[in-house]
Amino acid sequence: MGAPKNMIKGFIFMGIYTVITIVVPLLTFGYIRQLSIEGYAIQLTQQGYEIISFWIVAFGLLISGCAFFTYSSPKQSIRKGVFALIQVLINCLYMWSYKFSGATDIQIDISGFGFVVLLVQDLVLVYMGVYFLTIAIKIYDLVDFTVNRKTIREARWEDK
Amino acid sequence: MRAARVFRWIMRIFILLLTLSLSVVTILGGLSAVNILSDSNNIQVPPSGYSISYNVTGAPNTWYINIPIGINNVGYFDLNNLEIEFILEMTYDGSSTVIIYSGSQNFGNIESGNSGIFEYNATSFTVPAFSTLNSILANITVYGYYSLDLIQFEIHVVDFGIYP
Repeated sequence: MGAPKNMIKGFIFMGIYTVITIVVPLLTFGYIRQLSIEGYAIQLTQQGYEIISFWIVAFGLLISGCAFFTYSSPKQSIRKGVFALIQVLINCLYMWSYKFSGATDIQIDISGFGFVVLLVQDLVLVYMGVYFLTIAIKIYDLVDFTVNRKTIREARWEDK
Repeated sequence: MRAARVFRWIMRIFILLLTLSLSVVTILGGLSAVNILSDSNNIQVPPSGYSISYNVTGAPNTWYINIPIGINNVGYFDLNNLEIEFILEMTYDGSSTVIIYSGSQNFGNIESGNSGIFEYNATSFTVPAFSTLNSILANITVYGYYSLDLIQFEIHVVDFGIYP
């Protein structure tokens, strides 16, 4: 695939990751903020919302930026392997940001009754486990791309 | 195809399946929470047909409070390891307050689509000497897990009037 095509691919994936990591979570938390179940408001304070939004946007931008470099790099190149590994590490921090920003403790106030709390830390930790496997495969990719650099380059030239 | 690529594809498919399964569990978990909380009949203290019974007169060793709690599991997953914590606060002789009971009990699981009535029976109170009993309020907390035990929930019933 030529350089212009790789660049287009990079932009497309950057857009996809922007939607997945920034737009969808912000819309979801915006929806939760205004949600009321049978007239009972879900408590998500302005400060809590701002902290969650900040970390989502911060890590989302980093992930989207890395996605551009990962997907615009030539197939099986060391550059692709390095950026893919950085991207998945930032993804881990992104998942972890949900925990330390308070987004994993959802409190629903029920006036005159009490409140309900949903704790999703365990779910986030399982996602982190899946990311650990992804990190392992990305490291494997990077080692493979480096060790077999000559073979990969020869195959690439043969394709051209 | 190089052996390295075959291994990579197998791992990728495995990770994809894991991620998809987790996503399904997350989405169904969220929908379960909305289903259960969207109808006030799904969590009732006491449930219809039941009433709170108590005896808070006479010698403290004869006191008891029986409080039924009804939970209707309309979610997609079983509610597991349901534990009810029960704290009773007594106001006496005008404005003095004291915790006269604190305890917890495990009530097991409620399968998806089923409902359960859990009767918490509190005995063994620590009651101070008093001349007038003004009120007894209960703080009830129901703890449990759902979505394959990945999501924990707590239902806090605050200052629930038992007596008078």
